[in-house]
Amino acid sequence: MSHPWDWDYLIHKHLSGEELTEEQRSALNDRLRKFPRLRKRLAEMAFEQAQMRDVLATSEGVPILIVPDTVREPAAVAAAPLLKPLPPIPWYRRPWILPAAAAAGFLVLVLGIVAWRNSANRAPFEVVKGEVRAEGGSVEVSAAAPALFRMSDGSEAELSPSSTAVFRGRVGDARQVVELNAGAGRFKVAKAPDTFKIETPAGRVTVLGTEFTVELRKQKKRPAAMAVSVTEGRVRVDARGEVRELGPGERHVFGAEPEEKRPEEKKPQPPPERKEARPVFNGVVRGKVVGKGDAHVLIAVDAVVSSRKDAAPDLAAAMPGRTIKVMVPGPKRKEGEPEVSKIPFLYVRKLAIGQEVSLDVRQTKGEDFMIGELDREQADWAVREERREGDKEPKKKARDPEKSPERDPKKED
Amino acid sequence: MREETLVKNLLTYKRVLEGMLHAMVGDRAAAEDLFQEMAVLMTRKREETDEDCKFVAWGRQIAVNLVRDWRKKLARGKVQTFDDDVLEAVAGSFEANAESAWDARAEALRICAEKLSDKDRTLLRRRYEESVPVEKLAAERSMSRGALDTTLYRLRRALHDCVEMRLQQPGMS
Repeated sequence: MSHPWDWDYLIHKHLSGEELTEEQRSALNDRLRKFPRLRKRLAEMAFEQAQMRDVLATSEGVPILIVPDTVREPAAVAAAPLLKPLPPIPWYRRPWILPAAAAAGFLVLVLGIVAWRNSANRAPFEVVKGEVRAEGGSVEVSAAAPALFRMSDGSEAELSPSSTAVFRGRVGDARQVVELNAGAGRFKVAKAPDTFKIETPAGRVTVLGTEFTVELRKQKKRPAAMAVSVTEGRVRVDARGEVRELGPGERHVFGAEPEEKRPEEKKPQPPPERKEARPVFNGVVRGKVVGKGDAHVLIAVDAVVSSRKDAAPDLAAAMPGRTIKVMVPGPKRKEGEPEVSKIPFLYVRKLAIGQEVSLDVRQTKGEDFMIGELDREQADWAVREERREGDKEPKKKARDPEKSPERDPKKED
Repeated sequence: MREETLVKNLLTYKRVLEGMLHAMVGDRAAAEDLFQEMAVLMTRKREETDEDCKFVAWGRQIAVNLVRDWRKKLARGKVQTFDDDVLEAVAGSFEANAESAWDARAEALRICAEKLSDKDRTLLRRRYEESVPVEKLAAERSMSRGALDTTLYRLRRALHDCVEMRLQQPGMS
């Protein structure tokens, strides 16, 4: 039997840690069981993925040992000198030593100045994404999209459009100092022992390894307010004398008047936990109508014609031989949802006991099912039958109870 | 097995054993944790093992048991793994390859990776060395998640095909 799956792609998904659908997992499981070649391919691709870390790595961290100047190599002491060392000569007996020392000192000074100037001109960040006007460490996000910056310690800053900031690099004890002068920034700070600081006109945020957002808000009669929200880790905010620590999920606006607090300043709610989907059968079954009511039909299932991707294979296998209750989709609907079609209702009403049907069903609560989709032929059949009956005995126009009763002109007269 | 031999073998076959665990569990982080447990178990059991035992075969036995225990510990239904017999068969396919064949494959992969463009190389490095999520990489490159995933898949296939071609050449395998 041929399968629609690209097995290599399923292996790639599996190795990428992505969730396969139950149908994909089951198909891959069976295929791996049967075909040693596919198992070999999985083994090779898994090995290559593991090996890729060695092949693509830029470099491994190399520990550096700094030896104090006082420590000398013991070998030099142990080796017996072949020549008798000369007695030390006093500096005043070497006339060239003063000019040489002066020249060397001058050279060191010049090299130091050049290195300092170069390091001062070099920006302590790189632009990963976005359009930016940059001069030295000063940047302005010039496009309508945010810009992403990566700093020398691996920390990242995403600055909103029109934000201006200065990346100062290492300053004193802080490994990075960023001055945010306008706009907003989202910071993802690499973990390291030294502090990371964001300086703004409204206050300062000090942090050790975390992810947070800082936003400067203009106010009409007051200096700019600073909104800080923390995604991970912990930050300490010092804003015009107000010192506060914020933890994960916490947000606070510093320097804002109470009435200016915006409605969205609620604590971010954690995303609702995904409920485990219970196994259901959804698909097309073939069978015989063995009973019916106003809005449901009982079908003795002979076979499963097809099952949908979300159907549990075990349940699909158990369908033949079962008698299932299939209901018409209910009239209950939420506000804004389209009105339920009457065609499934008409279809069920026209079905006769003993009639053979193929029907798309979806399992709802418990063991009950609901009509999924009727195909065009079924829908036409349901409607055609009604028209024919209607031709013989025209129906009275249904009255809408919510509308006012039809006026009888005679009564009014 | 002597301690030096065990350490040497663990260093030599680290990627093979990691790949074996990864193939079974489909989750790289879990595979790395399991490899650590495996190394601890091997250290404990080294004295019961012959000096010249087939190291990957020994690792396979431990790996299968570790993956079964790992699966039991996690709630049923949340872990997607293969059936027990398939797990064993997948681990066995690592053993079927001669241990030296993995070295040849690693060398071929190194040569093939050198031919990648800087852009592709960076993408693979960010994804598979730095473990950056696909969503984040897609956002960085202004691509949809699906498009980025397809790009990664094509790159991996191209690399795999290149490796296979190199291994066909005389003197490589």
